[in-house]
Amino acid sequence: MVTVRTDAELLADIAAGDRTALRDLHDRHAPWVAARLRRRCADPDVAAEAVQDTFVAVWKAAARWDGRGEPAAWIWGIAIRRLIGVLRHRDRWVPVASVSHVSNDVMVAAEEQVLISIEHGGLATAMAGLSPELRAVIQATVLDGLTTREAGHLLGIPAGTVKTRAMRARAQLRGALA
Amino acid sequence: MTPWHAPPDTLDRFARTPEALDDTTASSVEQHLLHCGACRTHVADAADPIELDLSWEQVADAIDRPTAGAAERLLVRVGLAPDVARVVGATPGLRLAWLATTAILAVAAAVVAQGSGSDAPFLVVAPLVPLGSVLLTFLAADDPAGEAGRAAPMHGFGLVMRRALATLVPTFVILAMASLVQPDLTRGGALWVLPSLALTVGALALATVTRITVATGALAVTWLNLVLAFSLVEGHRVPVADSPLFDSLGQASALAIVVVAGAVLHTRRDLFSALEAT
Repeated sequence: MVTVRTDAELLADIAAGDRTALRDLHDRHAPWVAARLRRRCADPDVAAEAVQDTFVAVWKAAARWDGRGEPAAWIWGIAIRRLIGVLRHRDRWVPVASVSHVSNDVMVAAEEQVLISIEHGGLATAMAGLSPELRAVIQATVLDGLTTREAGHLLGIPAGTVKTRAMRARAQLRGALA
Repeated sequence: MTPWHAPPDTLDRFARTPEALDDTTASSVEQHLLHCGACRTHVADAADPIELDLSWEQVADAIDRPTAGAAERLLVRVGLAPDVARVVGATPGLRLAWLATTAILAVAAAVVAQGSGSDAPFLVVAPLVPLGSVLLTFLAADDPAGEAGRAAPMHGFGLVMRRALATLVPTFVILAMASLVQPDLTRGGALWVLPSLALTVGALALATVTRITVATGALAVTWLNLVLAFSLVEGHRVPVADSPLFDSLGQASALAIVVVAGAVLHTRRDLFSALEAT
């Protein structure tokens, strides 16, 4: 008899040290995480390394998942920070912020409330009107739920620039949506 | 789950060539995937299975690798190769306890030395400490009940040697650090090294013909007797560092013991490797 475990059940089993649960979670989520990371990083090797780091981090941190929200959103929160970590590492920068800093409710709130509509149009059209630089900043700060500093590391620009671009982007979006 | 689903061909393109998708579509897909297990499964099915297997192998490798302990991370930081650091740093509790004891003994000897202005306590005790390391390594290599292992002390000799090294190296490092605070560094700072090595290698060599408890015990008693015997020169007590045991002839003898015992060990090690292989 084969029962399919939910993501939440898999995370609970992973926290208890079940390798097969990690394998299932990996096979279920690694493909979309990998695709999403590849859109944020031109080097496929870096993206692949970040994917692997992500599931190693999940293995260690599964017990810290608080059981609220989407496991997928939590995994993505780890993945995007691991990508920044790998990028920093290759540039011989300081290691990344640890997994414990990932707050899934912040991410879910941002996505649920503001951006769920991006699936359907409206905001999507407005986003399409933004210049690539502004769109990248909105993508990193709002869609990926990164802090200004983390977004700066991912995009390779100073945090101050992220802030000013985010302000300009928001103003343009407001104009487009009004 | 949202009632809307991403178009299957869009999901296929997202899975295979994500960088080719336009930003708006990609953002929509990405947001949708966070909430939709069915579309995630579609992406997973469309992705390259070989890449997925490769990715998992790397993950499995990483989680099977034991996490580095504090000692190991420190050793890597000071420049040791990671695999060497693993052997030295991955110290089970028993050996860790022994290293702590070593450190305390060394500090005690140093304090006594500072107080009395004599390096005698350190010179007498230092060579005994690695003997303890050897004994402990062999005992720890036995099974918990002890009987099977002690009945066949040669079993897994190569393994025991590697473990012994893992304990002996830090033991000697601790002793070396303790020797730095001895009162007369120029004269006595390194006197302990060769006698310590002689006792250590001697014990390992003896362990090939008798039980380790007998080997280490006999050498410890011999050492203490030698110290006592040589501390009397023509009926007068002399400082330990000045005794013939530690003069150039004594040091040369110690070196000779190291060489001979090492040769014995080397010869018999081949024999034990053969035994181990069967």
